[in-house]
Amino acid sequence: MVMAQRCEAFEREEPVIEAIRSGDRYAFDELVGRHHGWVRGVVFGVLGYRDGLDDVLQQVWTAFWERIGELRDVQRWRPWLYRLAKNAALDAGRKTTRRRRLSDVPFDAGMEPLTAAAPLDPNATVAADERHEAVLDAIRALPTLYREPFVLRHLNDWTYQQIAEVMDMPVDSVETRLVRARRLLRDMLRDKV
Amino acid sequence: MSDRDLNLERLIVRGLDGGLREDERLALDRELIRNPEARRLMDEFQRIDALAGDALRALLREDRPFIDSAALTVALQRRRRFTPHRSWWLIPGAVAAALLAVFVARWNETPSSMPHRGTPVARYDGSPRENLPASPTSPWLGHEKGHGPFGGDLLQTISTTPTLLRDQGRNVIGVMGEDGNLYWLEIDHTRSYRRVPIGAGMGVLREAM
Repeated sequence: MVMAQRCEAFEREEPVIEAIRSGDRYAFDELVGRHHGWVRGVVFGVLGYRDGLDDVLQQVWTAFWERIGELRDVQRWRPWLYRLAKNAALDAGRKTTRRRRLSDVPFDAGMEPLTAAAPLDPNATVAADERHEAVLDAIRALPTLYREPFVLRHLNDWTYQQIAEVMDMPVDSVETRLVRARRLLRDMLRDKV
Repeated sequence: MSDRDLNLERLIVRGLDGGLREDERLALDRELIRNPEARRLMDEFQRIDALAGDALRALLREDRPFIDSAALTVALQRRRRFTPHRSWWLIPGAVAAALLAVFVARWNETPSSMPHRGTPVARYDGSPRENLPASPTSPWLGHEKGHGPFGGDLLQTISTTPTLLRDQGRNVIGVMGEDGNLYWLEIDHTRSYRRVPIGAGMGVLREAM
């Protein structure tokens, strides 16, 4: 009835990281191809919206390429990349807030709607879209503290251990945050989905 | 919410995330069978998880980000220029060694500023050179600071008394011994020079030329 315990570890990427450190563009492209998904999740987890997401990702990967020499422990490149992504997203979030405050428009105005792009299936129902929208609104309303691990868990299907490794925190803390995220979402989405 | 409910909630979430040990899994299965509230909670969480996963994947679908090649080229140049050397920790030692080298060099260049400054100065009383006092402990020696032969202006007004000056210096050198140890050699030396009046004023210089 219940899923069995998973203990998947991350694939080792140290040789690729070393190649990138020595300036290998092909290795860099390979790494981006394999890991942009979760980095996107980290940035979204901090921002909570898609507006400007690609610009932030561009900054993150450029910074990764430029500053890889500063990485002391190659085995800990994931937490390092996570911090780069999180800091870039926090900066972008602050700038957006300031810009919107200056232009005196509501925070939500002009922001890309939190629905997916046009559904590929023309038969997709309006009800399903509304459910998605409601869930994404609820996720966006979560405190960042809970949203980050929740997005990493559901976007990438990571284990607690993997989330803990990237976010550089104890596994128990990840679990606690995920439990609270679920509880808040259940309260927010009651009678909506 | 009671502790029991919190534990159940935690157990359900961990079960959905695949993080249960075998004994916990059995406990949860038992609870789900006998407790309808647990089943309802499990269903709610499962539903939220499924919707959240679908919505997030649809929103953040795996488009490879566009990365500007020119930006990467510029970044690489910056990286090559500013990447700290991996042996950065050698820098303090190198700075200390450089300072020591400068200190030693200056010490050797300006003996009058050495620790033996305030060198003994013998006053020449006109007696033959051979009879001049040679020992710093001689009663002939006085102490005139700043009259050493290695510093000061070329032409200056000086005492007209015939004088024999002595100046002591110290050379310091580090040498590597055969046993691999570094040895610190200090070589003290004394230089003396005579100061004898040869005439009065510039007229003497003109005659000499």
